[in-house]
Amino acid sequence: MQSEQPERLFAPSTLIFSAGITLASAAVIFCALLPTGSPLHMGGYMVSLLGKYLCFALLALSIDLIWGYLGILSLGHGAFFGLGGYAMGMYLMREIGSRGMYGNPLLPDFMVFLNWKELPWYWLGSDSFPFICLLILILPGLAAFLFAWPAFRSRVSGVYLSIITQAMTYALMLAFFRNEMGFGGNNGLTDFKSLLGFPLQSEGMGAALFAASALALLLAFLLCRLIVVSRLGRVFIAVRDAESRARFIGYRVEYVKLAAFVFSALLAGVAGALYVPQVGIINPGVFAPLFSVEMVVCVALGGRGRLYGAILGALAVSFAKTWFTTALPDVWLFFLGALFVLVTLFLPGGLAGLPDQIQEAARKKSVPSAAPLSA
Amino acid sequence: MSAATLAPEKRHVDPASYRETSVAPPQNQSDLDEAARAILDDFNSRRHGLRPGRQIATPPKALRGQNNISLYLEKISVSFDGFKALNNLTIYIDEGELRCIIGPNGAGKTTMMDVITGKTKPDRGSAWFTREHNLLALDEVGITEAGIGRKFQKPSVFEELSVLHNLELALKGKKSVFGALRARLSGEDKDFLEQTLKRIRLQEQRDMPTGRLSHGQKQWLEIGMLLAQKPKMLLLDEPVAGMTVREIERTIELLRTLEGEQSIILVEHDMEFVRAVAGKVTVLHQGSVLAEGNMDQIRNNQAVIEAYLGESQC
Amino acid sequence: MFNCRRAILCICLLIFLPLRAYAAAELTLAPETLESLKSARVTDRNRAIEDLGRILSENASTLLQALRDGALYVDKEDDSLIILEADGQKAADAVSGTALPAPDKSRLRKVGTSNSQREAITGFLSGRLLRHPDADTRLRALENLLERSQTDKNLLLSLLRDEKDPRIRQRLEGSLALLSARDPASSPAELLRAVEILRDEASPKTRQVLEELQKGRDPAVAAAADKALYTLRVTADRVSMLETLFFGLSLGSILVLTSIGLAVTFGVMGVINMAHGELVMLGAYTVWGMQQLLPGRPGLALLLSVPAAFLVSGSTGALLERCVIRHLYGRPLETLLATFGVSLILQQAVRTLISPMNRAVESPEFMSGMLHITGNFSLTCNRIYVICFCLGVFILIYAIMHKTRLGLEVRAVTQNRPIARSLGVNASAVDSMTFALGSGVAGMAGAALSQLTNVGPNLGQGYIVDSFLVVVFGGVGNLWGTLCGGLILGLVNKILEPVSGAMLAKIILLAGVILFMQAKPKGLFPERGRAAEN
Repeated sequence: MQSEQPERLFAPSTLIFSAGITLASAAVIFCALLPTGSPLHMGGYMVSLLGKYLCFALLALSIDLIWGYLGILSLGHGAFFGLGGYAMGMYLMREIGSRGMYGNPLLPDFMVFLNWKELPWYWLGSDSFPFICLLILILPGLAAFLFAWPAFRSRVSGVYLSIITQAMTYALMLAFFRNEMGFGGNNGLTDFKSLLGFPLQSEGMGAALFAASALALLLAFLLCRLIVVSRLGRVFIAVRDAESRARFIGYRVEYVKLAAFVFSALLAGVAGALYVPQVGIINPGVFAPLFSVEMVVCVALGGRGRLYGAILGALAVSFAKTWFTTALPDVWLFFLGALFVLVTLFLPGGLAGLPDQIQEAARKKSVPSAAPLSA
Repeated sequence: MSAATLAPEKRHVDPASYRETSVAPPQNQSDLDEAARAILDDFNSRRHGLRPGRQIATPPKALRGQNNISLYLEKISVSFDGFKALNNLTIYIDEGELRCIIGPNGAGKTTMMDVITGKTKPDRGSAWFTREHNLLALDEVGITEAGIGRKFQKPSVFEELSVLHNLELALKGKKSVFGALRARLSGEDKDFLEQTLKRIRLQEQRDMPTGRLSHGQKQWLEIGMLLAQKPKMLLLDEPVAGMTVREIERTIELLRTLEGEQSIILVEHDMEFVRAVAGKVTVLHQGSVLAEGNMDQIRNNQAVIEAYLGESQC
Repeated sequence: MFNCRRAILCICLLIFLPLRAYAAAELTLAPETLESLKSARVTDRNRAIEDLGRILSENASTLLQALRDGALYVDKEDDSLIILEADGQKAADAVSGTALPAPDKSRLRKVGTSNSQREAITGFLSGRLLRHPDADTRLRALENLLERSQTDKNLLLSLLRDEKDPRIRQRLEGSLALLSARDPASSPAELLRAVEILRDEASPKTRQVLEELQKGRDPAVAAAADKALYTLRVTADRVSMLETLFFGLSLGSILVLTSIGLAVTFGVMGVINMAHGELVMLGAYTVWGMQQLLPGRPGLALLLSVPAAFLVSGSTGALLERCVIRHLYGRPLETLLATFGVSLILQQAVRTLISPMNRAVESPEFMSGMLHITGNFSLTCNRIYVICFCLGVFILIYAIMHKTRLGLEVRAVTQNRPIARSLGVNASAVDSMTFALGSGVAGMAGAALSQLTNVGPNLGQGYIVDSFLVVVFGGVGNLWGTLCGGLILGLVNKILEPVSGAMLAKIILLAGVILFMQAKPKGLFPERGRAAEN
């Protein structure tokens, strides 16, 4: 894969892209805050839909960091997204308090329904927002660490790693389907009322959550950019292209991979946490292998190894999904499937790589064989 | 790091099992030391979950005297599914020495490199780098840190990165995750890289992705990356394979400048090249040393001629 | 090759043997019988009862029972026979047994019976079937009798006198022993004898009776009962262990079946085919399609489906290889994504073209029986077939990969493509053939699965993760590894299930395999040597 020669943090593409995200988000927030009668007013549904796209973009970004730069294809990043989401969901559940159907001030509705008498230990502290914020970072990070450390240490890589990441998210899905897990089983966590005391349904809240998502995405983008332009970023590429060579010039490849994987899981967790209040539900569906693979395709479509490509890909696929599932629900999977096939066959660099690809094709046409320069 | 902390796992050791180890009755004080050491070694190797005699955790006798042995391989055996790639191989390399290793295909040259760099763990034997580093207890990175650099048979450079970045990655120090994240090139580093570029004649290609370099240039770059690591010992696996005559000449010049600075082990098929480099030559055959000496001695060795008969023009 | 032939012979025997048991065709209700049942004349009805008594079908028995219990009515408007339950709320058509809305009582005329007729019916219901020439029918009648009412000791004794079938004799003796064990008038000697017999009969009733005897007054009887209970417990443990083993083997075989194709495409060729599950699904749908083509002959359809499924999935696989995978060799992660896309397309195609709902696939009779090993240990036939089928397919694939020219070429191409080509092997044709072979086997697995699970668009999805785990667990490129890996995973799953529940067992298994992979990244049977190092 072609990736840019990372030199400066604010390369032109980064500047343009960051400015683009900022302006577009500002415009959305402005429209959302206009009074209802105004022609430019944007409804709450639309704002949270766009907010959801941004969360997917953040998730795609986290996948691109490890796939595009380190060559680790995770088919289970939905798991970290889901863990972050469930952490947030726990807090939102506790915020409902006695406004639930059963009016139990302590227990969420589904626990009352299951005839549970007290909160399980792992729900303790879930009513404190700072604690939950910590949990949103710790939980996916810890899960990623526990999963990845033995894998990288015993040098599981490539396709094998992809398959066990898929098995991991599949196992988590089965686990979260169980009522005994204490996370609402099949239905998941839902019926949220408020966040930090402010009602979730209000327009101001929608705009605030959107703003938070946009900010998180921008920060994560710049942070990832910071990493890939550093020497560490070049170590990533070295590991991706010639792992054993990287080891022989003295890099502990497993540490490099682990650090990147855990960081990526943290980003995914944050994305999940921002996703839940905007969508209003979290259920085991986020652990479904298909969801994770869809995200990977977003990255592939956008162009991996470019960061902004992943974001563009996620936004494009999400728009397409929304449009198809309302207009032509039957065609969506055909479209998605065809997208998988066509992008991998004809767009190895994704949308973001299209200009390079065209340039390359043109170059090849003019110079039949680009002879390497000799000394 | 000591060998004990790097041991893969610790197993319970049954003291009774030591009775099997027979130790000759000590004759005098130095023999007594030797015997005690043998028991200690045996104990250590069992404690590390290894078979007795497989790994010696204290430096062997040859390294304890007043000498300048840099690399010490003794009685190394490696087998793959019954095929003995190395069979009781023993080689000593002195500091600053340039040693050529030759031998027919399957003689175990590359496997020997693999053992030295930690890619393959031997079934038996001991391997030390100076008296400080037990190579069998270190992993690849540990061995690199100890100061052994290796160039592979196939040129392997990071094709998407520029020549300069390749060298920068190889630069000694700052190899941890956070170290690499914060790393900036100091003026000294820049000078050193510049110097290395000059040495490997790739100044003009400094910003070119290495994927576009010619085969010979990649080989040089790899040697340059080794130099950037500032290793105490270089392992070069067929550095001139696929090079033009002119390129080979330049490589010989380059290697000559290195002589004395670092110990070099050179594995090569090309006899002309070996003669031109003119170091001590070791011939491997079927996993063990067949002959050792300068090129003329080797050429006249009857066993070598037999081993090579029909395989090379030598 | 010898093994192969023997396996085929075994499969044939297993398929055709049970057919014999069902050869005795059952009589159906004749219209005249029904007419005379409705008749007002007693003699007509007597004759009808006699006719019905001779018919052995289930609905004849229900009809007779309803007649005896006064629950049989004639609908005056359409002249049909209706069975009305005692509360008058539920009704059913007497002939077909389909439920009907509770009809207006005024429309109905009760079919009356005399005392003697009722007695005759009772006799027919129990007696006639009990002396039926077909042993299976007798056994069923006996089971009915024992289940329903307080049994008559003399009847059982008289039956025992004439009975020759060992199974029925055993059952009769068991019931008699149960009766005498319960009889307070029995002498200690009789009780001891009863205990002796009951020791081999594992049923809750026996256990209860033995527990009572254990507490009884006679010390000898109590000791014997105690011993018998212990034996029962041991047998029960053994049976449940065997059952676990059997279920584990059958689950393992399913895993092996679904993975063996993958072991060829992924293990040998190195192609990550995420659409493998959908190829399995296509195989299952082939059975369904074949049954639509051959209505009423599910057995023949199933047998024909096995090669048909091979062709359908194999040609789909070949097409997939030509159009997609061929262009992605050497790029495993891209192959993974592209084939995932293909799997989505295939799933949606089935949903759109056939139906998003599950399709009903009939099981032919020979698949649905039981194989009785001992009195309380029996195996379901379909699972036995699956185990045999799995072994057969394994042997076939193994033979192809190791004994034929194609297998040699496949291994040559995968080990060193340029060299193989320079030796005159048509590498791209070999790729297509191998991929088609692996896909075809997936189809055959699907045909087998159609007999065990629901056939729907999501069929394949459930197996893809498992299949990859089996192949990777067993060691890529090693068919034996796949066989062992699949069987081990199946067994472990079934051993865990009673302890932890099905879902948790699966989770534990997944976690276990993930951990195992981290300890041994190359699987159970890794490739070793210099080549594997790179």
